[in-house]
Amino acid sequence: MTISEFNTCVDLYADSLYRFIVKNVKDEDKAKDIVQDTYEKLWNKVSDVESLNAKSYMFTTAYRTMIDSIRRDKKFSPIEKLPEPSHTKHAQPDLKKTIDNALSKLSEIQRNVLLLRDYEGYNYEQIGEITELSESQVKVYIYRARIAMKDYLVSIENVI
Amino acid sequence: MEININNYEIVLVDYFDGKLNALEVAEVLLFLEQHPNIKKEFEAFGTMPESFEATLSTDFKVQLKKHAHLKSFSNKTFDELLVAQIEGEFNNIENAALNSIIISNDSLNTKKKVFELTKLVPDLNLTYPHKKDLKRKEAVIFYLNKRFATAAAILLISAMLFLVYKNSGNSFQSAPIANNNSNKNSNLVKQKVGPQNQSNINDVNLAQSSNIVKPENTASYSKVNQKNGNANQKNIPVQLKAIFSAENQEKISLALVPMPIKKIENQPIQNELKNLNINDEIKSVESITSLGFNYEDEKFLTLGNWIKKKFIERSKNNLIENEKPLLEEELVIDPMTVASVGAGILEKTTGKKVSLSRSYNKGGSVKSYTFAAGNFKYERIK
Repeated sequence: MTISEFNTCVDLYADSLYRFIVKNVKDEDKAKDIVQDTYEKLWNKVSDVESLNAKSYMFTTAYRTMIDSIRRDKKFSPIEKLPEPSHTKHAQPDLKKTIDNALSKLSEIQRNVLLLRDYEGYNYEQIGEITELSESQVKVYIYRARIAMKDYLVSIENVI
Repeated sequence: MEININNYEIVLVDYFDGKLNALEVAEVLLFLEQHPNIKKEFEAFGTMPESFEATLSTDFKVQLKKHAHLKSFSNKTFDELLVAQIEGEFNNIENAALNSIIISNDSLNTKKKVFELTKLVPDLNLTYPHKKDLKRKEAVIFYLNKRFATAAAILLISAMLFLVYKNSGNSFQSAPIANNNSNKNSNLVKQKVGPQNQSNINDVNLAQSSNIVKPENTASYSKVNQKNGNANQKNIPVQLKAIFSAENQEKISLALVPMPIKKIENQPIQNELKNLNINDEIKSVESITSLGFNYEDEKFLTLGNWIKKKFIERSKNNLIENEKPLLEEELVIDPMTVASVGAGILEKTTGKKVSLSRSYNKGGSVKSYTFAAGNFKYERIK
């Protein structure tokens, strides 16, 4: 990969990486650090990584860096401990916020596979490579994630 | 289109006539799965068009059969279909067939809308703010074409040659002759010396500037001198290396400075001791004197000329009293004379007391030679 291709990768993938990380860690500063670390690692391997594989390499690296960071800092709270979304019968809850809350209810792995699937459009095999899961596992996690989100959403009045 | 027990025969006829669209075909298939008796009738009546069946995935057919047998869709089983639809596992025809079922059921319709919300959409307003910091600067590379490269090479070589030539000129001008005489004389000398001698002068200056004398490594010193065409130091024994202490380096170098005068005579340095000819030496001294040099002033003498001068002086001093002086061309240089001159060289170059003596046995013949310089003493028994 050339320097020019590296810079193109910054333009193409920095935002999507950042969104993917932010949705997981819910801390913008930490997400910025992880994105920066990811590009630093890519730069160290710039001669080894082909530009065609750069996106996959970066998401894999970012995912692992994020998991390491979460486990190291122990700031990641299990979904069961997250507070329920606040809403009242009188106020129409913000749909986007409700979906975010539903997303935060998911387990770490469910959220990751769902984000990779919906945000980046990765297929089951690619998600499996990034998360080190089998294709079947990915499919099951995605199914469970959607069912869990659906259950959360239908439990809220006037969401639809 | 709605298929029921009352109108299915009409629809099946339209099906075999090819009048149904994809959605209607899917509804027919679903209806047949829900009514096995009618399906048998259908199969007896005709076969399903291959082109349509080929469009259905095995997964969809399995799902369709499963739900058909259930007569009514349970929430759980229908979730699987909806998730599979969101995941894009069905083709257009399958999606149409499923949608035709959903449309007819409000509960399923609502459920489908909720499932569609689980399809996450990225917030494009959320962007990484420091992309510039992530980017790397590209090195600027200048690509020279052949003409530029050739011109650059020529310029570089010319510059190098100029520097070399310039350095040669400086060395020549800084030689002792030029420094100690008028411009006129130095010009004369330059003309007389010629290119060959000019290079020899450089050799001397190189020897002077690079401190070739290493106190603890006489061998290396000798090697450098040989390389520079200076055979004067060849006669210094290896054992004398201790004499060449660091403090004497400068003196030794200075002793080599007057060498250019020797070069004027065009005498190969390598042969200066082998082909020693006093007459030639005197002539050369005269010729040098005619140029304005004071031959008697030892500081202007080269090491070689100084040695020859000492040879002449000591040979004359060794004459026995009342003995007829030998003609200069008859002078015989015996080993002791050579050795004593060598000792004198060491004294001159090192500034230390150097002694050379010999002892005799009872018969009057030489028993041993002793050489002493500072703490160093060497005795050779004959």
